[in-house]
Amino acid sequence: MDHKTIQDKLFLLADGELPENERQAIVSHLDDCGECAGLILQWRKVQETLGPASLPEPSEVFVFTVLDRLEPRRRPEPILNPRRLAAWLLPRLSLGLTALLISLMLIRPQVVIATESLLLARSPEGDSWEFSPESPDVGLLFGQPRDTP
Amino acid sequence: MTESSADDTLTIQRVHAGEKDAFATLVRKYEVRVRGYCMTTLRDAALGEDAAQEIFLKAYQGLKAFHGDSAFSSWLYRITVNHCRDVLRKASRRKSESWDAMLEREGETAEARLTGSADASERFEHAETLRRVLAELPESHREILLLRESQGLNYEELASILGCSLDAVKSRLKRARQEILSRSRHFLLQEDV
Repeated sequence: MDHKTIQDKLFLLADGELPENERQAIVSHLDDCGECAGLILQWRKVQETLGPASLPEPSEVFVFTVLDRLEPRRRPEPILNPRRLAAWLLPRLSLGLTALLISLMLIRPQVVIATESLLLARSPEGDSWEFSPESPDVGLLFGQPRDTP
Repeated sequence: MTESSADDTLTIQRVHAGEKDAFATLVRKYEVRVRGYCMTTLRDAALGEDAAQEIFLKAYQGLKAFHGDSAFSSWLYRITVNHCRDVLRKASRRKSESWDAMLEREGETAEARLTGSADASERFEHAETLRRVLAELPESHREILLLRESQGLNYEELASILGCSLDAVKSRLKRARQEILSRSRHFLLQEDV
């Protein structure tokens, strides 16, 4: 392998991804080539900085914070929610209407007699009725004999 | 199916059966990697934490749609990568300082971060500067570098997560590595002197 080919494979060497024969060839080249050896050295320094040592320490606080946030917070319900209002109101209205209909069906109709009809039926003059400025004879109206002087 | 993947499948079945607490097992198993990816990608610890929480919530809500066609870890990484892309795109409206602008502003200071003696604080600054270089890479390069180097995923997992062939993974990974080395070579070379 020439210098250019080896330089292309230096990172594969750093990753341990080369077959044994190529690895040995490149390692022996590094003994003689300052440029390639320098490149590997520089890369090692970059790796040290970016490597796993740069990761933060484990944090239980972080774990608990995440777990606390898993439960969605309850949003306050709106004061007037049309859907909730309808869900509450409709069954009650239906129940009330049904009760009203049932009671109307059960109640027997009563005969209502008008006062005028009653008075006319009991009047000796039959159905004739005249206006008089005098006060009516209450006894006559209710079937009692007229007081004779 | 690997042993780890089989464990995940059993855990997911418990979650499907209504054991919400079983989800904690999955969170504990993957939170470090998900948070790590988010924090590095978004370059902000608080943003990274928030993003990681959202990712696990999305995973929980979408778990019913997960039928085990791929490993749970690959599925979770896909959510992670996509979520971070979304966050970055939303944040891109804000003008961010470019790498060149930082060099111009800080002059030799930025360079010194990568070339100074290696005490603890300087190593930290060195890492920060390199992460900044990483953040300036194209999205596809940054993603594959993080998934490979930080998360330690193999080529097959990368192909599954990124939705491409093994050859495409090798090719993209090589270009990404060349790109980050090219951008930081100046500092890395001086460190060798």
